Amino acid sequence: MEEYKYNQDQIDAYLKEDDSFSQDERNSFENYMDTNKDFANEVKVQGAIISGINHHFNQQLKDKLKQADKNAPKETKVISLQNGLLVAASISAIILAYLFFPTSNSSLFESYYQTYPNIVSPTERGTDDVNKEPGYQYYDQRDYANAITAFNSQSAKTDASNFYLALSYIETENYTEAISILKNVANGSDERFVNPAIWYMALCLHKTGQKEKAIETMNILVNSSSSYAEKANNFLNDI
Amino acid sequence: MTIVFHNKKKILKQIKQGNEDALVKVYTKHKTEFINWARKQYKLSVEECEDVYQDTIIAFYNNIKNDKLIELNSSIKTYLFAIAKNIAIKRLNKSARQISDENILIEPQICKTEHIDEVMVHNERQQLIAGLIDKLKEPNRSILKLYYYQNLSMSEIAKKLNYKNDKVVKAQKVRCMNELKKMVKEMYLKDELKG
Repeated sequence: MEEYKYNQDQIDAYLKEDDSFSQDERNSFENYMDTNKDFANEVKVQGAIISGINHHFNQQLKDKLKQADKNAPKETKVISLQNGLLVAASISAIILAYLFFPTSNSSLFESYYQTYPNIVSPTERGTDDVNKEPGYQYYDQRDYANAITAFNSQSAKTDASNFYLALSYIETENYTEAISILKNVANGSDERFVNPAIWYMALCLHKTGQKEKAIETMNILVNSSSSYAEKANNFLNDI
Repeated sequence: MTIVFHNKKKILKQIKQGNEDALVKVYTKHKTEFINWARKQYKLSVEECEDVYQDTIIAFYNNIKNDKLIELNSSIKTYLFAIAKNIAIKRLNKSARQISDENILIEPQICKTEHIDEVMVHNERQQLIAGLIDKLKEPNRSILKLYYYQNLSMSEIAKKLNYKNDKVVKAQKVRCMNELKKMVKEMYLKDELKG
């Protein structure tokens, strides 16, 4: 960036309407924009970009809300458990199951596993998928075999694409492959997928009979402040 | 009453920290009641009501993260319905529909004091730039999200993304912005922005 009277921090403070930037400072900033066209253009471009960033992540959030609607019937089941009678019935059923049947790795996996929504490039009504990477297209279509091929052949692999590759492996019941990929995602830098990767890795470990490792992995979430902490705790109680 | 206040404070804090699942919980909790109310009140279709409600939740989230909503004197539900009312009316004004003003559930003065974010103003340029964000690689995308969208400080981002210090994040953020600027220019947007 060229040498201007204001540095990047001040441009950010102005554009983000930061409280640290007083009204007087804002006025001086705008006066300077009036006298320096290049600077004004720089601020304008950056402002448009920030606006685009906000729009992008707002849209992503809206997709997450839509996804929550799709998952709603499953949640209803959980809510209905709050009914006292049902709780009593469930507890009885659990005690009976505990007494007469060994804990099944599969049934526990089934009761906790939910297909993770595509939060990277979700499909929207009325839009085409032309610009979406093929892996995500197949993932949205629940064509997990082709999603695996597409994600594997993707030249630029990211934590996000690896995460969805691992999930596609889970959907095709290749848990061992999923575990090894999820390990890398959990240690990756994309914070959006760290806790989900730990969660799915723990589920897969349990599913493949690696109970101790599953407990150890679940404990990472239990001791975290993540939204998975409660779920992980419930899972450990169920084990 | 104290317990309710504590929960409300806790929810706002969780949302402020970027816990989107807490926001989804709020969304789910009041959705059915909102849809029933808005359908009756504004004669909107279920789909339209859902859209208004989703935009309401986003406005609610933006107000929290931008410190425009720090403490609530009303319940979260009342606050949401107040925002939703404004959004719904804006849409109805656009489509010039007839609305019934009967059975208004919320006090009109609540709406006056709340800031309604401009999230609904989506212009073409915004959408074009938004489309570029997916093309960014990690951790660039996360840095921009945490800094510009979630309003975290450089030190908070450094901690969250395991960077050595805030200066490293700052330098990385400048590189991200330069990358985006380059992409925007390649999209022939610069000339338009100049105009």
